Amino acid sequence: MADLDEQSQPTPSEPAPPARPVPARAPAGPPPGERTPVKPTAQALADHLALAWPDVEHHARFNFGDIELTMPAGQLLAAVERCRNDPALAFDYLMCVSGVDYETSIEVVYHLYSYQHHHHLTLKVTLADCDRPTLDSVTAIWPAADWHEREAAEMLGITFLGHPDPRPLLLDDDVDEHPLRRSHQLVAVYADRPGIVEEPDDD
Amino acid sequence: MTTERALRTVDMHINVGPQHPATHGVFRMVLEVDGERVAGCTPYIGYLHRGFEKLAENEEWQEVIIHLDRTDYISQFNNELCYAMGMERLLGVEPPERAEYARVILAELNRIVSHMMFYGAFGADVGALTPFLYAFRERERLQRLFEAVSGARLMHFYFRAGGLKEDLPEGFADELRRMLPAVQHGIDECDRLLTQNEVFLSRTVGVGKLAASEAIAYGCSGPVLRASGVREDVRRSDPYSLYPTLDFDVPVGKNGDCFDRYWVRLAEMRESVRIVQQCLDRLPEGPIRTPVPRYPHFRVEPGEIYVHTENPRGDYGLYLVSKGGVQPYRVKLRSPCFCNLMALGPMLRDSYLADAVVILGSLDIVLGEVDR
Repeated sequence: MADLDEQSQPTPSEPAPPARPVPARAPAGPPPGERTPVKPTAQALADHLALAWPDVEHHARFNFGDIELTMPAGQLLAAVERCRNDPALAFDYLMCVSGVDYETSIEVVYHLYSYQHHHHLTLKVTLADCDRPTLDSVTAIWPAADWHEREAAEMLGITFLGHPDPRPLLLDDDVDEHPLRRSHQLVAVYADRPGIVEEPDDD
Repeated sequence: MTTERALRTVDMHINVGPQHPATHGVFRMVLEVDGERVAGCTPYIGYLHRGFEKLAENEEWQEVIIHLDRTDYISQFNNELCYAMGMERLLGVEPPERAEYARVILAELNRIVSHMMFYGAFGADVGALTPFLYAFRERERLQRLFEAVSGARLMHFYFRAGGLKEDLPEGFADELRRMLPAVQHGIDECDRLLTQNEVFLSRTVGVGKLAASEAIAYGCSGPVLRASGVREDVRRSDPYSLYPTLDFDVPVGKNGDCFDRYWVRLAEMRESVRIVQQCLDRLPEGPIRTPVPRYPHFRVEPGEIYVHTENPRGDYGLYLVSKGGVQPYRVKLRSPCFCNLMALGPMLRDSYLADAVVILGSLDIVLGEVDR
């Protein structure tokens, strides 16, 4: 905590100080992910995808040297089946499934790796309907998705169609909130520190 | 088998946990048993869920490290390393060389400490209580060193984006150099104490087999995966920090049984000693931290990264999303134990009920990380 103690802490009774000016940073260039050189494996993968996936609607970009594909939810199953079964891709290791609430949309991110070719791929699916986000389950292709999807389902309220066991995983059965939604607020533990947590409106 | 099938009557459900010494924390599984054989297993997790990912969204970037110590609370330095690296890549800063060396030394020592913990607990799981005492004696040696480094026994909060909180204590390198032969000796002693023991062998060899294809399908990583014969280590396959410059082997097993999972960890401890030795020989003097702005000036440019490291328990990944604020927008932790535990069902199927504890123990789960 030494880092933080050195800063003067405003007491709760004082009015909130005006926001301090942020020191000028290096001139705005491309985001950090695009400054990293592209890995040779990622370049080869990108070339292959451009040829082999003309019918799968997707948008590709490089992030920290690896390739990242964004696609609509309807394309997911077709894409993951090819990821798994195309011998040039052979993504056999599903590392992680993450859900991210961007408030106007919900994103599900799959991080893949191939033990055979030693290349990485990030698949992203954007779900526009925040009230009822629905997506196909990939457990039939990677059993590893099982608990990751159960977790994303309870934490963000995403319905995974075709999941074999859609029970809650980490939360109690009777929790009907989705804690990782941005609208779900924590109790303000650091309310006296500007910019950290805003107090909820209702008391 | 045919007679067993013919005699099959009613399956019994046995509840293990959440408070049970063999579950290494608060983990519950309901075993469906057919006589002596396990027919199915339903794991229940979440008893230790503290909402780490939500808490992280409400903390300042550097503060999240405190919570990471509490995810896998047996390999804290490794967790901190993963997060610090992710932040550094997002910030576009490089830690100074001395900090890199110190981090690798501490991370590898932490691997030894963690595997020692496994060694002791696994011995107890199989019914051998003595190894526990030896393991903790060895572990304590290094714990005292960690305490000298960070001031805390367990929750270190020592790595930062850009380097370390403060320099290594005076005489650290000499002390560690003196200590390493003793650590090596301790590992050998532990090896002699348990590995060739006949009862130990009969409890672990051929028990809880996991085929390589199954281990991959369930997303297993770390010693659990390598015991099944897959030579995969993040330190080699997606090299980070100093690992490309270091000379070490990645031990793999053959059969994917409990014994191989034990043996791989024992061999890894020896490799960690080798790594520490090399780092100590090269440990340079110099600065330990590349300056980065402090709160409230600390900003991380919008962007996202998936960063992963080889923790004692496997592939520890963090998906960090920044929207340019003082706090991370999203932190998702890919916990190796969480994924390894998914393979528990297939491993337990058709095993003896008495072996269930051994199989669970061989996974070396830390519930703080499974539940987050």
